[in-house]
Amino acid sequence: MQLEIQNITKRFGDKEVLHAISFSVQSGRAMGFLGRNGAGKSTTIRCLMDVFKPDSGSFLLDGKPFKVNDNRIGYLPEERGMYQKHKVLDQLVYFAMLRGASREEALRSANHWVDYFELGDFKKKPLEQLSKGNQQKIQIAQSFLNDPDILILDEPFSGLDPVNAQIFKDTISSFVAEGKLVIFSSHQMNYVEEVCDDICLIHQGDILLSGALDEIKRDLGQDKLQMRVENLSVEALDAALKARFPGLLTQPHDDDLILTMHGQLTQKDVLDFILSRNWTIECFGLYFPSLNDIFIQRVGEHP
Amino acid sequence: MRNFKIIFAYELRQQFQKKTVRVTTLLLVIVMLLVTSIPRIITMFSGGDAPKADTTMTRNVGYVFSSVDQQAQMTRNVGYVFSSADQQAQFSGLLGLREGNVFASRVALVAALKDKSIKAGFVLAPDLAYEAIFQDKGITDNQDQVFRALVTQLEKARLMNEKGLSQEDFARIEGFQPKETFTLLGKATENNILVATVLMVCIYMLVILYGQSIATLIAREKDSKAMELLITSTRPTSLILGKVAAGGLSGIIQFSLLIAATVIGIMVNKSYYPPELLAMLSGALNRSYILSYVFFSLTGYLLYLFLYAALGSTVSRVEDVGSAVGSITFLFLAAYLAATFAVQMPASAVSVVTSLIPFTSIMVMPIRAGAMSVPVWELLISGVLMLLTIVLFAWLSIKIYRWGTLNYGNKTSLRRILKEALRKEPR
Repeated sequence: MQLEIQNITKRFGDKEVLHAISFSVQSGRAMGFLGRNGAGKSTTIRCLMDVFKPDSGSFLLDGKPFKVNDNRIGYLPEERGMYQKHKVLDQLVYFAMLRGASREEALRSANHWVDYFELGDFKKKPLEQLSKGNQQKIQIAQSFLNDPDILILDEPFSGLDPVNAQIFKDTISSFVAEGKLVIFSSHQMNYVEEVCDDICLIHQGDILLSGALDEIKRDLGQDKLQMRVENLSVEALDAALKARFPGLLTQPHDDDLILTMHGQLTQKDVLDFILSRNWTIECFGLYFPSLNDIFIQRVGEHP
Repeated sequence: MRNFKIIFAYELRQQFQKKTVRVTTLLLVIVMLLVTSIPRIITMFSGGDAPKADTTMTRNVGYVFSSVDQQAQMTRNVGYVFSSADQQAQFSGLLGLREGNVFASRVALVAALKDKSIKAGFVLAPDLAYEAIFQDKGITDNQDQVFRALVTQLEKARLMNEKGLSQEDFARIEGFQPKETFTLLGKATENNILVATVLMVCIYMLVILYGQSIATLIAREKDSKAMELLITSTRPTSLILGKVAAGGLSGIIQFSLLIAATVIGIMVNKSYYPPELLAMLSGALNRSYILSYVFFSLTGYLLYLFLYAALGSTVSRVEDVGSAVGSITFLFLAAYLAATFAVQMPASAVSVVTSLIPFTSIMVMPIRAGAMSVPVWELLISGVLMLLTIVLFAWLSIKIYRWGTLNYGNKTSLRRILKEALRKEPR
């Protein structure tokens, strides 16, 4: 399956919050939808889920118009909410049935996911009696009901402790392995980096970057070296390199220095220089930016 | 349709799973059983069995007391001052007076009244003119009325005798009843008013209570943010129709239980009820009244539920429901007032018009149908208007609900909501 988001524009009153954005998502590959608060992630997802009607543009699934009710979709909205006073299992069965399951299927699915998240003891309890973290797990469980083909999760990691976040990551990975189409929005880069194959970066209603995470990293790391030398500060290393190679572009990155290769300069030239100084190399290699670096860099370019 | 059934069943089950709903229903059923048993309870505490009709009459010279009690009332704690021995003999025979009842003078009688050994006294002149004297007069102290009737009848009998008429002639003259044939072309309204008013209050309660509960139900979904999950899982049409149907039916079930408890209570305690009340109940509940009551109450109830649902979805917090639905309460109050007016003047132009307008016909039409013969065309027009308005408002409430699902925050005017809700959606 391929879901294509094509030229979606959304206005609230006079303010345009999505400026003809386009990107696509493949099944069998988890897609991380990244952006700062207010960037337009939830609006895009709500337009996709037909909560809001976009002002222009279209959503296509395998080339045909995408209709929410015609597909098995697991959706976790940003605004978490279920019935606080209703029993956990009752409402999970209800939501599963609303999405097309028979009563038996709904019961089976609801029981499976409640047990999966180790909340079997709370099935007959009203949701409000569960801790906040457990309520969050029930929310996630509702999005997994009915074995959905498409999972759309808005900020799924918020409110999860590290153990539950790990369980959730494993579950997402297993869904992806089963060939499902998974989109989740987040601003927690570490989780996205661990789970996602593809990313899409949205900023102020525009897509800044979209594609396979590996390729993006490789592209952004192209012609760049990352290095660190024992007993030498980044500043001293930077000064020494610039004295030897005038016009060299450098950029400090924590304790490391990032060098951008240019012209005739080769990796060997740099390595020879370091060895000629008898410095002990702690780190030397091609630079692969972290997702966090990519995010900060790209968003920083568009204040 | 499939999801409508799922939503309907779920909402209905949730409604009756609430402990408060079950307890209140049970309590109200018990209250209704108790209220309808009041006549029996009163009889139990007054120490008697079921009241017996007054069959023991005491017939005396020219006067018939309606009961033994009434006769006893005129001797117990009542004093008399007679103008002559003959007069005393006559009244003693009639009333069965004893020595304690007769006083020599008005002064002695007043003294007895003041020290409360008697409660009432009568001082008679020779021509049967008399003075009634009471120390205090309570609501049950009607000795003066009984005495007036007694003296009146005695005087009438004396005059008849004077004219040579026998007791039997006198009885015939007194007991004359015209041979009357009564034909009613329309309806006798006097019996209907009480029952119709009680049933009108029932429908008032039903609409106000369950309308508010539906508005709260929808506002709570926004408050708890469950709304977004719901509208991405199914269509707003199924949601609003399912919720209104379930909320409406739960109200009808609860009210039916109350009505059943009332009917059972009345049937069980029937023998303790005054016959006039039973006649009133059976007279008022004629077929056309019941039919129009059931039709207009149920459809009107549905209409108001859609209104409540629409307004419930314009707010994002449960606390704001009260102010949002305030306008319906006023509208409904107007219907109630129109109905109370129709009780008095069912045929007036105002009543005719208000019985055609769907928001008021809910209460006015049953009242009119109970009180008079409403022309069939009026019933038809009113019924059709009601059904059309329900469809219109169901559609409107779906639009407003859909608009309201994701409009959180500041309250907006109803006009703007309607404008935005009915705006053609982009694309």
